[in-house]
Amino acid sequence: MNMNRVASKHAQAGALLLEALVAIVIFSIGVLALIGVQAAAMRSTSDSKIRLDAEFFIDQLVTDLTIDARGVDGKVNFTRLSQRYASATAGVGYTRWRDRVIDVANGGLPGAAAEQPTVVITDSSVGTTTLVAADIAVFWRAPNDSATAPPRRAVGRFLIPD
Amino acid sequence: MRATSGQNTSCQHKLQQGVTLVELLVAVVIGLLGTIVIFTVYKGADGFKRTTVGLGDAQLNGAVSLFTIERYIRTSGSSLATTNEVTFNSATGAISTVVRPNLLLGCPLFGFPVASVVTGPNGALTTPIAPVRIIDGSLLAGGAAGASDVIVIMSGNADITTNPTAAGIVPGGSVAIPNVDNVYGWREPSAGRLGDVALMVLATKDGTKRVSNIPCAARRISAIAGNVVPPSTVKTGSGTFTLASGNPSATFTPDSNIHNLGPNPYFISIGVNARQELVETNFTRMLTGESATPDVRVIADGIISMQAQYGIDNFTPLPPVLATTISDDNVDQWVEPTGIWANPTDVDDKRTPILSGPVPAAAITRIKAIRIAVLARSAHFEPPNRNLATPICEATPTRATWPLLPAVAAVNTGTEITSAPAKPASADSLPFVIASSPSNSADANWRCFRYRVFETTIPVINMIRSSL
Repeated sequence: MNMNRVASKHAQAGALLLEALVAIVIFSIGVLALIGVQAAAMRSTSDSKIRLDAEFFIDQLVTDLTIDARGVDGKVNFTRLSQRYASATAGVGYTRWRDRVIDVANGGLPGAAAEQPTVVITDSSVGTTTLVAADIAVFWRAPNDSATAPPRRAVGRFLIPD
Repeated sequence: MRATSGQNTSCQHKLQQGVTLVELLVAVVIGLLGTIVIFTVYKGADGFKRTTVGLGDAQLNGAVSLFTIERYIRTSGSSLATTNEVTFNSATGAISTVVRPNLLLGCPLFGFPVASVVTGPNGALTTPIAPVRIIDGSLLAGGAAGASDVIVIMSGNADITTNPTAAGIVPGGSVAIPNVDNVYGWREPSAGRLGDVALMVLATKDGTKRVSNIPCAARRISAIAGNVVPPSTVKTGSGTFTLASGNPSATFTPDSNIHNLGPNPYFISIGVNARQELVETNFTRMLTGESATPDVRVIADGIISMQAQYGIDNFTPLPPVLATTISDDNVDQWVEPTGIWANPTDVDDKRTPILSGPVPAAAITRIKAIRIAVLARSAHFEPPNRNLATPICEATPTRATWPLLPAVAAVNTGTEITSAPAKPASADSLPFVIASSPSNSADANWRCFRYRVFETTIPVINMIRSSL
């Protein structure tokens, strides 16, 4: 009986250490969660920077289209624009812009080389009213995105001011 | 039984003794270790948070800066870059449009103070009327190569972009308008609306040239006596109107032209100040004599540097053979605002004969777009890495760079570009100078902060769509 009592006391002493260890583990999980939240915040800041860059790239192409749109008659020229800027024909203006979009080392979008931006020029002019529009889409993958998932994208449709 | 009971008593006694000193010390050590872990984690988490929030702020500042500048530049030149004059025949009610030479672009502005702080290779630079003007950082007082640039933006906001010639300014406090010549007329101040701003330019008698060396002057209309077009408060036809105080009209003869800039024109400069804020300085009320000092506001903080370039249209052929020149208004080339482009000046109107003397190659009318980049810095100072033999900051290992667009053709070759340029070589990269002040002194701690570069191109729509 005596021996039994002594043994039980010993067992209880070990339980205290075990409880402490469990407490430390739970605390560690909390700490890890905290670090995870910080990492997520950091990632979303980085994601928003890439999206902002994508929007500015679209803005730049819209400007390129606006300042390179006119034929010798001073009017917006659909043929010129589609030859130079449509991604289907890989025009010279398009390739120059695309090369900057995919140039990650100089501020380009990550993953844009694999998913290249698209530009479609459409002409819906009516009579003497010139209505030339551009549909622009840029794609990218954030550093932690899966290579097989659909890429992130920013799109826009813009009327070239005549 | 007794013995057992005694054992029991002894055991209870032992429990009541509490913890031993050794146990207490161990508990304290464990507690301290826990505290150290908590503070280490907190320090790391706080650093993370500061870095994240700082970068978020830098992104916001950079984006807001570009957005604000773009908003101004897109509308710049309204009421200024025009060649059309809308005339109104009061007898028949017919409205007709006449193309007249633009006398405003290139005209120096009376009382525009930017010139006084800007020095160039040949002394003070003038700040003639132009939709957008870039002043290279190296030309600013105390500026070194690569210093932050200043952009001067001008625009009117008249109801319609007309070029009303109204000869007949009488020197003195009031101005007689024999005929405003259009239905849109002028407005005097009314409830909730300022009076229109009048811009005066001294022209030759035939109205085709500007008299050089006489600056243009802007004044706000305080009162008009004349015909009123009901039901609005617009006044047209014969009459006189009074200009606000400080009227420099003594220099203006009856041959002068007077232009309506609307109630809220803007003449502003945007640049980075010594506190690394992007600042807008609005000179409009100074120009109209309504204020002795410009109105200054901060657009965003944490902006280290702003760099800009002109996108120019190479005419075919280039000046001075202009009479038959047709331009496509497309940007052929990007140029730094230095050399001949440090001071783009006179008017060259490619669709009308030369206005006054030989036309310079660096003409305001060739500027069709602006390319601009800002460097935003996070406010969070990240301390040096102490684990290194010589502790240095590792937040930003290399300086931010801004790849220059390739020069399409040498300046002034007169080539209207039809083919695209090659991809810029990395040698074309222009390093942003990360400086602690506009005077461009190197900040020894520049590596301790994180940076973001924002870049865009902005068309000067009014210079593209006008027939200039």
